[in-house]
Amino acid sequence: MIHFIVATNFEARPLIDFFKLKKKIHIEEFQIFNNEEISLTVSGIGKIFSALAVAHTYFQFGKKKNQIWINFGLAGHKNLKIGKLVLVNKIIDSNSNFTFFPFFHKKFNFEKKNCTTYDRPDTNYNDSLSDMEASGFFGAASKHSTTEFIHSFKIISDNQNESINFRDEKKIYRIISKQMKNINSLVKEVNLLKKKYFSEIPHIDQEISKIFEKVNFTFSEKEQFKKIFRLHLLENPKLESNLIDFSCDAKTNIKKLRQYLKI
Amino acid sequence: MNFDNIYLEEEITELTETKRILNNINYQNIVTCKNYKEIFNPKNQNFRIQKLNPSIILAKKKNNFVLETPKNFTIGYKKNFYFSHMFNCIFDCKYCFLQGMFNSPNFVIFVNYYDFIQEIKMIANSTNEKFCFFSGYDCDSLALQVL
Repeated sequence: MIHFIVATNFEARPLIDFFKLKKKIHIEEFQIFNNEEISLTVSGIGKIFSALAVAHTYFQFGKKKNQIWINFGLAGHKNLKIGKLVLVNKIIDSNSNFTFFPFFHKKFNFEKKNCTTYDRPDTNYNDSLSDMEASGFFGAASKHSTTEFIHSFKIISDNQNESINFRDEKKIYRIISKQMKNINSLVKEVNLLKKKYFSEIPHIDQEISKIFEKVNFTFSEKEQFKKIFRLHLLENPKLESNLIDFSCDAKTNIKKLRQYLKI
Repeated sequence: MNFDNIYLEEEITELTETKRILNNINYQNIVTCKNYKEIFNPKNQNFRIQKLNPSIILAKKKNNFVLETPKNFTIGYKKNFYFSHMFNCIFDCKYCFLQGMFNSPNFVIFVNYYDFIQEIKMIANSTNEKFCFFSGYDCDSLALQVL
């Protein structure tokens, strides 16, 4: 699943419309919108809320590891043009000086910049993007996923010469909407990587527990069996019917599976 | 050689060796860091995915330049030493232990190779015994010789 963490409703609206997300109505702590593949959580402004939103989303969507986490929002920069999409390649927490380094695939051919996360709005523009969420987001998401699937995409909202009105919902909607195709292509790229390297084997746990119900395994036999069985399912998504003999004991079945896999 | 990202320790940005290496690489971004371990050591990284687009990390090694090998690790000499002036390799050979030795596939290059030379000389001058130095234990020295 792809989880977006966005600070405000204004920033979230273009994504909600583009991905056709629907609000989860029974949740009170955060506003969460989702469809089958994508969720979007409106965290509120600030790194603590952003980190909390990550944790909350993680538990809301079944505590699944190695999902895609994207922090999306507006950011300031010294001289970049308003409306420009920038990828964050280093996140610095201004308060603690903690740093995070996202990884980018070769196809991510967009401008990349550092991003400094401040506790309060900052107008001392420099060559680093300024925001108020990225460090909290990245720190929290790192607990649940591998670095390659955690990203922060920013759209420039203000620079030393000009700024948008942050209360102008229509203006924010317009500048974000212009970049939605690019954001979508980036998200697709990350999703492709995920599918290639972390493909989930459907119903693996169900298959294993069915076998454990019919054959008696000791604890260590269960662990051995799970490892070998996963290897088997990596190559053959469907279990061959004659591979597990329910009339035999656990040891025999493990031996048989080992012989079959030649390990 | 082409790389998207070069990670650079803040301490070594002005060194001549750093500038010379940077001149030999085509890159898009330089990202500074305090210590190469910030990028190289975190556990929640996927070696295989990052191998699709590895970066170079230029760093300064602070200590343990040359280390003594285990006793049985020898090709005939009584005393043996090894040193790693780089980590990882540009190739991706299936049989090689480097595909999984570290959390990250990025290539670390220690630019202060003169410190390695100095320590090798010091060990060599300390006795008349013959001994052996194994070079580039955690890397492929020849593969990145161009830098």
